[in-house]
Amino acid sequence: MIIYFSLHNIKTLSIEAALTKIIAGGRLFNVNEDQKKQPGTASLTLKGETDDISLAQEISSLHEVFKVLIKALKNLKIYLANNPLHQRFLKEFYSKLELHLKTYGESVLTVGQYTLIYHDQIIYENINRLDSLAFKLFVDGVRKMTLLEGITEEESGSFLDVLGKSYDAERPDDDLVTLLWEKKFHHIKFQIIEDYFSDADQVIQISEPEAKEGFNSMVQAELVQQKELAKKEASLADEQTGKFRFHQVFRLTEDEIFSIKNEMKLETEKDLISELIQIVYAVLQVEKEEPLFKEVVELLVQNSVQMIEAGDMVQIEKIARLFNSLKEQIPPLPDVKLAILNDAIVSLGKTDYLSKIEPHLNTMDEKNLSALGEYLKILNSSAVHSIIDILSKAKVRKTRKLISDILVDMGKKEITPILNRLQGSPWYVVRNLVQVIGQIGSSQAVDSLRKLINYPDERVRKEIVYSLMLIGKENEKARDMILYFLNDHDMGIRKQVLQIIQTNRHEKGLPLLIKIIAGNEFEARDSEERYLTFSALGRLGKEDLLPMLRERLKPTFLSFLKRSLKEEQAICALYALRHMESPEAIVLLTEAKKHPYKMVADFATKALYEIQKSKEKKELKETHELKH
Amino acid sequence: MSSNTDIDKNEPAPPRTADVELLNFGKRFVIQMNILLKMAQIHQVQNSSFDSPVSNLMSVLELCFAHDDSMTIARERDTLFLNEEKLKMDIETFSSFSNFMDALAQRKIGKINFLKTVTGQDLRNFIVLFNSVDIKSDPEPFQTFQSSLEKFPLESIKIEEYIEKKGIDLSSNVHKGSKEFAKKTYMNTVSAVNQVMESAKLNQAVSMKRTKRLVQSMVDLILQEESVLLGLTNLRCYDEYTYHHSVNVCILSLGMGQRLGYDKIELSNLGMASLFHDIGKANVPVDLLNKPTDFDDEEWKIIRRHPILGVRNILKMKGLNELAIKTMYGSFEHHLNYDNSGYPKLAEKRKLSLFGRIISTADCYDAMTSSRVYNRIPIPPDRALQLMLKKSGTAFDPVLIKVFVNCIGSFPIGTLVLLDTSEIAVVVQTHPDSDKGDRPKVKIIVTKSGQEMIDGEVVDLSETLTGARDFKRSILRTIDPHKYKVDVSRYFI
Repeated sequence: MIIYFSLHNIKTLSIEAALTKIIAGGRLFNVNEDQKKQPGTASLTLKGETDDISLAQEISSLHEVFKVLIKALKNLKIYLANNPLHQRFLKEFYSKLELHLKTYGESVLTVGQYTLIYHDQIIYENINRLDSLAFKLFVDGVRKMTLLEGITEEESGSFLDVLGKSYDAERPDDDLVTLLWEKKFHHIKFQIIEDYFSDADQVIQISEPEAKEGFNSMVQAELVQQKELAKKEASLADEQTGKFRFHQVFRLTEDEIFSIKNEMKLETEKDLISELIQIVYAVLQVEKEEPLFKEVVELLVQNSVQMIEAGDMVQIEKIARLFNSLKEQIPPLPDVKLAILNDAIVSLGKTDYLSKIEPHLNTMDEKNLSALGEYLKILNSSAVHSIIDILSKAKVRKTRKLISDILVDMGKKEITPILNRLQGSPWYVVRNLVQVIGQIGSSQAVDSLRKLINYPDERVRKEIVYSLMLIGKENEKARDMILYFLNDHDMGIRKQVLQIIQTNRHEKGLPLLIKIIAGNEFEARDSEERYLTFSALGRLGKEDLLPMLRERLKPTFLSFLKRSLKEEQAICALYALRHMESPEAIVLLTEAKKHPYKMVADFATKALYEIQKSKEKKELKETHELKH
Repeated sequence: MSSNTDIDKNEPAPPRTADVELLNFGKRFVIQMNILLKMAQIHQVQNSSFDSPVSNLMSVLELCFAHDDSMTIARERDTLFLNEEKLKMDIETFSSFSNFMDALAQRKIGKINFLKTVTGQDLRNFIVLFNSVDIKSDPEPFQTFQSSLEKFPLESIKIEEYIEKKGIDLSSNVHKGSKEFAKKTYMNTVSAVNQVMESAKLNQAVSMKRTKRLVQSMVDLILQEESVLLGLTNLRCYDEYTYHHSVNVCILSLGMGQRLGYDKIELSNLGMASLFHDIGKANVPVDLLNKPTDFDDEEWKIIRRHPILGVRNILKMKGLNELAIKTMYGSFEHHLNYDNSGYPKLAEKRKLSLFGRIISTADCYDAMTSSRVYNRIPIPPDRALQLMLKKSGTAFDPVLIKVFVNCIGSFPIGTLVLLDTSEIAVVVQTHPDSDKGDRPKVKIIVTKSGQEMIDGEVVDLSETLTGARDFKRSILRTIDPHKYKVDVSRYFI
């Protein structure tokens, strides 16, 4: 049986029409009288003796309408709503449909499994179930579709919107019919098969009236009594309450209407996921039985997967916080429940769970990013591996820093899981971890870093040097290990080390520097690196270096060299003297002001000026400190 | 600052993309008309205080005229129509609608037709003539009004007399059609609830497609003819109590929801949430649910777990969408009282959701008025209502209790009543006007001679004797159907 399920407004197409059998016999539709009278619904008219040519034109026009519809559906998937092309397709379909309906009146189409049929003619056919419009309608129970004259642009747009919707995992039970029902179409109607409604076995059972022997006499006798009683009660009530009118008690006041309407509005603005979390929290607070407690906790974790997949870190944070709050509840929960909550928190930090953030990791807004940080903080050390994994996927600096900071906090409590990941991880993970380790600053990490000093990727070695510097503030072994990198293949790293040992006055580096300078390869190094090496030498060295430096300043030093190279040798010496700042060094610098090579003389002048400035600055600082 | 009823004259006529606009015009029209009629009782219509409401009313008419050449407001039984579109009443518009309908009824007016040529002055004149009809003593108020319009003459506003359409009462064919569809929908929903509950019990995946469509049909029914559906809540089946109860709570909640003015999508959500408020009972042993004697403490403990079990069952459903979460409100909160007492006992105070409070009200009422395995004699509807009213503000939201009473009437559908004519009748339809909540429509089931009627007459208790103010019939008191062994449900199917 087919029932008439209308999406037309309630008055013009009443539910009683829903019971109307519609017999599709040729061109004749059997419609009841009431329905014919309904404005705008006398649609299933008797077409009778339609002129063949006119019908052919109508069919051709309808064919065109559906061609445009299908084209629009395809294109609407491609272009966003704000795209002019999107709007163009909507308009094109509307104009075509409106014109057709204006010219030929309503169209009643029969929906087949793969076809849409009008007057025995196939208007549309597509046997590919994946993108067949007819199949989509058919499978949800639609068997007839009526398009009425007067359709508006809004309706036509909504119609396309519904037809173009693909399966929505969030609303798995909302089929096409539900979506159409929600849209409240006035000029598009559908007939749906009764499958969804029929239930042959359901019979309303009326209880048979029980034997009523002497019913009449019983009623008569009762009536007299009841009437008397009712009169007495009524007068008593009037005396007690005064005659009240129904509305005085039950009519809502203006304030009540305002408050309830306001509440209705506020309810539409509620964050429903937060509401869900609050309900679950209330349940867990009072649920005494461990199995149900456990099940609800686990179900919440399971359900949170769809939130994390959507990148909704705000809700994930709330869930993690919920478990944490319950753990800290006073009076404390029994151990068995605490263990369940701990397991839940562990679940929230598992790799397969946390990895679901990845698609959103580099596009998160401030709110979600901050929630991500709070959520990660709640996770315990078992989550370190998963957090390291997402750190490796973080491309945005801010995100990377946020995750690194979390790992630093975790590592300060327990560094071993982080150190364990140094082996066997890709270079970029190792680099991130080395950075984290440096910030943790634990001496425990030195041996693990030692194993990496020959790491093939220079970006990792560079990070190791930096981390060793940080750890080295408190740890001599780490400081010494930095010196190893003075001989690194990478010039950048060597320069980095020279800066570090110079800044930190790491005296153990001096013999190494002297050795490097004396080495054959030194002169082939980049001039900037050589200057840096001499600067470090000057910073670490003492008076015993002066003869060597004086020698380099002589124009006759390495007389076989070209003048430009001789100049460079002299300037290297000046760099060392500039950083020594001792009186002897200043004497040498003063002498160098008269150097025959102008470039050297100028550099010496500049170095002396800098020393002077630095001295003044130092004195000023000391005076300032004394004053305060 | 302008009030809600003020209309911006510069507002361009919006395209009538849907009849939603028309419904809004209707709402605004009735409100403005009501203001004018009230003001005309105090002031002369030429008074400047009329300028603003007249101009507001003109603006509404002009908006309508942007699409049609005339605008007709029609009364049919308890409903108003604007250009044949049914106007929806909710708590916000209730009093304006009721007053306006009363004013039309007192003058026996069925339709007022405003032509495009109507002016503000025409409106003022119309109001004067409208108010000049002596509604208390004139036996033919319509004729008097019409002749005064003709004499004036006022050609841009036409009126038509109200003619009670034969066959549009509760026994009409149209009504029978709705009834048939409603019954079918009711029973299929009972069956659908049964299936969902069974699936929940067996931990099977639950599809809500069928149930959703059924609830959508119920929403359509409640919007069209709520008394048909409300009447079906009298179907009692104690051995399938839970399923019938679920459907009844759904219907009663929808009735409240539509009074509150929820749109149909939200009504559908409310319907689903209320339909599955007892989904936690799927996990309560059937033997216990159907126990014919009182529960002991241990058994109560098990019964009281069903709101939490319901939350668990909903969490188990695939996809936590808006509907699932709103269903959770119903399940978790339906035994929580307005003051947070009830069960489950909460650790912290909680503001109950509107859905939860609606469902809780409907749930309590249906539970009290239903027969169950352990309590085959239910409390009569009016008595149940009295008990609930006593707990307004503690167990129940006082505003929602009012909405509920407005929905089901002070003599709810299914109440057996003794009339002052010595007839016994069953309430079949509440009066839409909250002023006349104590004057429902009833079906006579026992004549004054004590004769039982199978298909008795349906009478409107708000009807007065011709030319008099006294009512033709009044309720003397309610009576307990069990005393007379009357199964009221048979009058609703």
